[in-house]
Amino acid sequence: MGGRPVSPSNNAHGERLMVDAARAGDQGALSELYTLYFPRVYRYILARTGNSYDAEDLAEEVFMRVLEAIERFQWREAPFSAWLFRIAHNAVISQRRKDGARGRSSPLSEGLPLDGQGPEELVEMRLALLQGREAAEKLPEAQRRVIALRFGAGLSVAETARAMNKGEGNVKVIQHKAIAKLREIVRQRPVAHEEEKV
Amino acid sequence: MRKRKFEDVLEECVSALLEGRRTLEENLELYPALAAQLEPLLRTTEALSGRLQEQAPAATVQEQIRLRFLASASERARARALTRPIRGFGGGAAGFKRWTLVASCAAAASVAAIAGVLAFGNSGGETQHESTTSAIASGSQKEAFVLNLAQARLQLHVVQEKARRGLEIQSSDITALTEATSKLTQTGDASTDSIGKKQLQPLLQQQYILLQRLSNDLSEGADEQLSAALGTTQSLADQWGIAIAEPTASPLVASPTPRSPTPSPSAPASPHPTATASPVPQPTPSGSPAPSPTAEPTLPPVP
Repeated sequence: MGGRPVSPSNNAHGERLMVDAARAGDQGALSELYTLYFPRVYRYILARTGNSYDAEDLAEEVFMRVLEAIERFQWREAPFSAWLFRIAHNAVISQRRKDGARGRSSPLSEGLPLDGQGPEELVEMRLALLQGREAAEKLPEAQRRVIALRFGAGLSVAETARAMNKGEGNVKVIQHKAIAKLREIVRQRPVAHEEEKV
Repeated sequence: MRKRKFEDVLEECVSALLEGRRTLEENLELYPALAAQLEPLLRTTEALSGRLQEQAPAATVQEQIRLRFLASASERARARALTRPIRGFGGGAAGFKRWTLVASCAAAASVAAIAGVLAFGNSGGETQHESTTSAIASGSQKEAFVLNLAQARLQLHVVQEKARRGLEIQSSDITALTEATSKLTQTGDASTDSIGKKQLQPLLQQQYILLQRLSNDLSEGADEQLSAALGTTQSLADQWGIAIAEPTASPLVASPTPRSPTPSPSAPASPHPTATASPVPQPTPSGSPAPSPTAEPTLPPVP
């Protein structure tokens, strides 16, 4: 549905024109910006929260915040994607604080058909069910962000680095650790059905 | 150093995988010395990324949020237009100086205006008012066009989804689609708004294909509303100078016609495009070209 996560800013010139027009209040450009980035912001938030309803609400909130702040956006500070996903990050953190204060947590749905699955396929299936919640709960913050930005939002390493205010080399290290850790989590995690049987 | 290099290779392979430039197997063939280390990580990447990329908000939800987003942008633009002159007076001593300067100019202008009105009547005032109104109307027109466009997209999506699911399409659906399209003919500036045209093109194309297919599936004489909808779609395309391609012949889902009250729930999914497709062309990957699979990287062997 979403296709491959190719960074939207690969067409940097077109993006710049669009963002500048949006800053000037051009509704067509704002609409185009929305079309281009909304699904990516949604997936980023989904990877962070693991909850599709939260992802919809927060993605909308992010775009409202963009409206408030886009006039102040400066090209020299960061690419637009980095700026946008910092806003998304802040929205996620802010929501987490609110949820923490309310004592709310979303259940992680899982459950796997086990018949006829070899160990490798089982790992693949577990991974397939590894929606953002798992990553959100088990990975350190920096690793969560890298996974969400790279695999959810489809940003390049360079854009991810700018969004996180880190060096590209650092992002690559974090990415490596995050993927390895996810692999480990999935390997070690008991399957829901197995637990039920026991 | 070695670890660093492995991370570079991993990143290169991850990017190639995510962008569809190389398969997992091609990545492993490219780095046979690291294949054992890379494979589990790339499999994890593939599964996780694939899963995440499958996730998308419902197109209807997405369009509703777009409407609210654009409506909010419109409100902000109006509020900004109203408050901008006031903001200029803030800012301490400099602001006060600016305020006194503007105030004295305004006073002088008022005196001149009163004198002008006394001497020549209020024709000058009317001219100014007209041009201001025209400027405001021009901005509002564009906003109205974008909002109408979002509504038209939403309406098209509703009909597309019904067709895709084999549900009955009501006369009111087609009427609403025609009205939404008709509103677009009244707003926007086809001669100057290239972004608008770019956004309109896929919408009209999809709508035309949908209506044509619905029309083909209708029984004789049952397509007055569809004809009207097709006519409006074509008029809007003509107005904007958009060429619409004829659809290729393929059957629509069972019974999605305004007249047919018995839709088949087991009908296959429609092959025609749905509103989940992005109307804006996605940028193509333009990263560095993939290295030749024959080029063996010069990395140290993995222990």
